[in-house]
Amino acid sequence: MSIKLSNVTYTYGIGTPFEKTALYDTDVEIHEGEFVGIIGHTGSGKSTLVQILNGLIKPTSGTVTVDGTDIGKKTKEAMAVRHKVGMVFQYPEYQLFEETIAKDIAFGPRNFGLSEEEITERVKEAMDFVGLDYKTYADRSPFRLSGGQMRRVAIAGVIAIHPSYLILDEPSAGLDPIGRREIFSEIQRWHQEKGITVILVSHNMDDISRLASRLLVLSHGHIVLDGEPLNIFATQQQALHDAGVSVPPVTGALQYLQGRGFAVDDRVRTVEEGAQAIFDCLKGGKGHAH
Amino acid sequence: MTEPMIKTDHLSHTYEDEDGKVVYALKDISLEIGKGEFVAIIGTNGSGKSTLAKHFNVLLTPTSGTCEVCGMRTDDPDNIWKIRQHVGMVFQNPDNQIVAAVVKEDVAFGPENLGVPSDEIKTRVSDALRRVNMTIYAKHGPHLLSGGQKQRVAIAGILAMQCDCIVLDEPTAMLDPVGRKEVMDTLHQLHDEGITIIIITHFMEEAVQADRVVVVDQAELKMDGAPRDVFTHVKELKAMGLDVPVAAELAERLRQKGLDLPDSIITEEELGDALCQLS
Repeated sequence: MSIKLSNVTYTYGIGTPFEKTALYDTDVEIHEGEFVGIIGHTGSGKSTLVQILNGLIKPTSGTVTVDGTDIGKKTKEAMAVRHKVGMVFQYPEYQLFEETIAKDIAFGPRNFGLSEEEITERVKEAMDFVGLDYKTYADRSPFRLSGGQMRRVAIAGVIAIHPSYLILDEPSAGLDPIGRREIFSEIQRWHQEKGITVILVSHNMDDISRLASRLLVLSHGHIVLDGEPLNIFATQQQALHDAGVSVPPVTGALQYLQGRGFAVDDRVRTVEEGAQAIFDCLKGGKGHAH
Repeated sequence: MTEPMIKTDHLSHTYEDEDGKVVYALKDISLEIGKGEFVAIIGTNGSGKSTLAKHFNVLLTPTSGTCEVCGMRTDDPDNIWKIRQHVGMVFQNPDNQIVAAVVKEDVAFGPENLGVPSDEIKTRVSDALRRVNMTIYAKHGPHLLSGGQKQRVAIAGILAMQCDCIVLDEPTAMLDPVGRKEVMDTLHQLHDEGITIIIITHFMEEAVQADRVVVVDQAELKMDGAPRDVFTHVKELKAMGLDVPVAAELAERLRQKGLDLPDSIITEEELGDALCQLS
């Protein structure tokens, strides 16, 4: 079970003066149960890649298969597997449109032809999942909510279609630290409890290093790095810099200390682990080179 | 303090919720921002920080109390357009604030609306684009620019109106690290030219670059001071749901582990210095 891209190239505006290849001859396989982070500068091809993963755009050449089925074909099977891939766009709160929160979340399941009972069940489950009380919020207008709550409604709408693969494009942009943590702990729980595959596009390296089991770094239409996040952050500073991205702030701080002669371990996921690494380094007496 | 650019006096802003109950978006805010300052406003979502910023160029007026810009009260309708020639705003989403199909026309939009003669508009536009380092993109389509470049075009549009204060509401939230740095570098350069900069941000590495940090929490002004004075209150900020610069948090956690580190640390360099002293 996987999403697999084989020799995928995507070119925009073929035959126009604006012709531009956004993704070059890309091979990548995302396996069931992975938590994949995707980073890269603006224009690196991230959005093109996730839109191809979701079947929103078709590759100019190459094939995309979801669980073995080619999604470029117009078969029933291809339609069915496309429903397995859910996508939360940037600023999803702008996509809310219904009169009530429950109706908005029900839109996806309803389009998939579920019965009314099943739809209500899905809506309840999705609202529970994102921490919105069904009784209180079901009949309220989504437009009277705060930005963070609106985003949760939008995510609930995607959760309600029960995707096997969930793609999120910058889900934490513009949220404060608490809002970010809430959204991500929900996604992480969904990942762990339901075994759902998560593909997360983010500029926030903290989130990536805390959550992802695999990191893809894109630059100028190519996947330039593919590996375990802590490994990449610890060993590929130059390649990351060349790709226009950076290491998480805590990794940066530890690498700065390394530069000043402290033999501190920079493979940490959180600030807490970072503090422990400094503490261990000093206690071990290997800190000081001055 | 220098002459005030913005001054609020017991400013409150209230609205009614669905049940008709009065809710304070801002409560009793008295704040003075001097000409030429570089101020960061931080706070959680819903704290009131954006509402506060919208008072600075009269997108909102106080329910009670007053807000003055360059000595002009914002609740006097005669002042609105004069105030907006002093204070310009940049929002989070660069795509929502570009109106023209060519960069230089977008920058010209403001002065055109002010009725500035066309020769002068040309001068102002080329000057504004130069100051944000976007001259070579003057004839480009804005939709082909990166997020950081779009935000700099938005800033140029404000400069072309000859505003002397720029208020930015999370201008870097949607940008990649390179774009964020471009915008921050531009703001520092404009600050050096004497422009007052007020930036709302969730990125503490940006807030720490300001001369002054204002913390808004639950509609009230909770802290106001130099970054060092504010960011060393790690526990209080965390309790409000805010982050602190990573060096300050590392230092705080190391102190909890029993290391004797000064509580003034907010940069990596200071952390490094203090750790060297220890060992």
